[in-house]
Amino acid sequence: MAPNALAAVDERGGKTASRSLDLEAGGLSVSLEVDSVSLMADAQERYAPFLTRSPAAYRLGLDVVPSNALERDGWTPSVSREGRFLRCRSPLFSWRIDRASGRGRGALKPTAQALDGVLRTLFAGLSPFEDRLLLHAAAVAVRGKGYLFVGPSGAGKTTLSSYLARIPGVRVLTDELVLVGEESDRLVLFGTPFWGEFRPPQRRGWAPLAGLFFLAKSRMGTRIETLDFARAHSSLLKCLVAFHRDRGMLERSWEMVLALLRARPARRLAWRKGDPPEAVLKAVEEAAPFQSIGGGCPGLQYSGSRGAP
Amino acid sequence: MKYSRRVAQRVIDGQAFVLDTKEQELHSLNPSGSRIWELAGRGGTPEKIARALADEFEVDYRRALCDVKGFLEKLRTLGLMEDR
Repeated sequence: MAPNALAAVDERGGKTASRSLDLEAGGLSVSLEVDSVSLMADAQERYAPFLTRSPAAYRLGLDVVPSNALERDGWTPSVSREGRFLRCRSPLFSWRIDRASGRGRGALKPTAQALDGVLRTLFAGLSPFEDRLLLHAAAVAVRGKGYLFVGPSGAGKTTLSSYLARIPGVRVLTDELVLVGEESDRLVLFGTPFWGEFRPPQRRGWAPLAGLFFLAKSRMGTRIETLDFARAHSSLLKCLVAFHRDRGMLERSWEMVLALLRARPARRLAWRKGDPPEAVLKAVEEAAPFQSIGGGCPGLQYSGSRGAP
Repeated sequence: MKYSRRVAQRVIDGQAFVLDTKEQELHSLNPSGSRIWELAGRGGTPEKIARALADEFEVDYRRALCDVKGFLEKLRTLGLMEDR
C-alpha cells in the first residue's frame, strides 16, 4: 500500500485503507487524495501494479461531490491551459493543477469511472509537458523489444493483444493506452494503468520501441505494408489522446508525433484471427528488426523538425 | 487573410495538414489546396494565388481565380482562416 498520512478505517471491512493513490507510469507520477475510503480502496486494488512509494510530481486533492454538482453540457472532458495552470472539466469530475508547484484541487462524483477519468485526463494533460505521448495503442514486449500497435476503438488492439499473449515470452504492456517517451537516447513504450477489455494480471512494464504498426483486419492472412509518412502521421495524430483544446499543447504533441515517425517508420499490419499467433509475431519482428539508436536520435525533443515548415 | 489563431498547421511532403484545435479536427488538403493554403498564409491575394496556380498547375487563370475564391471562403467558413 502506498504511504499515506490519511489512513482511515474502511467503513465496509474495518480494514485500514488509504485516502491517497500514488501512481507512476512512464516516469509520470501523480498522487490523488480523495476523502472516500471505499473509493480509494477499490482504486488501490485496480491500479495496484502502478502504485509507487516515491513522492509524486503532481498532487491533486479531490472533494467528493453529489451527483448533480458537476453538470455541464457535453460528455467529453476538456483540458485547457490558463498560464501555468491546467484545468479540466467534465460531467463527472473537474480539476485544476498548478504545473509549477505540482499541486492542485478538484472534485469528482463518487464513482470508479470518475476517478479513472481524472487519471486519464491528468496523464493526457501532463504528458506534453513531460516529453511523453499518450496514444490509443496496444503494446507488447518480446525478447526485450517493444512493438506498438496503433488504432482507434474497434481496430483490434485488445483482440491482437490477447492473441499474441498466447505465445510464451510475450508480455502485453497495455491493450489500450501507451505512453511513449525517450529514455537514455532510446524511444521507449510504457504500459499504463488504463486497459481495455483484455485484463491479464497487470504489471508495470516498459520496452524499447522496435516497431510501429497500424492495425487493419485482413481476409487474406497476415501481411505488412509500408505507409507513406504523411498518411502515417495523420493516422497517428488521430490516435493521440488529447483532451486539450489548447493550441500550444497540441503543437507540442504534434512535434512528438513527427519525431516518433522519423525514428520508427510506420507500417500497416493486416491480420486475421485464423492466422497462427506465432506467424503474426514473426511477421512483425521481421518487419521491424530492432536497432538501438544511440546519440543523435531524433527522439521526442522539441528541436527543429525535418519535414515540417 | 491569415491563419486563424485556433489553427495549428504543418506542411508534410508538400501536403498541408490543418488542425482545428477548437473542434479537434484534422483537415488534410490536396496538392492545389495545400498550395492555396501556403500562399494565403503568406498574405497572398486571391489574384496572386490564382496566377501562381495557373503557372504551376494545368489550369487557366479565370478558372483558378474562381476556385481560389471559393476555397478561401470555405476556409473562412470553417474558421480556419480569418481576415487580417
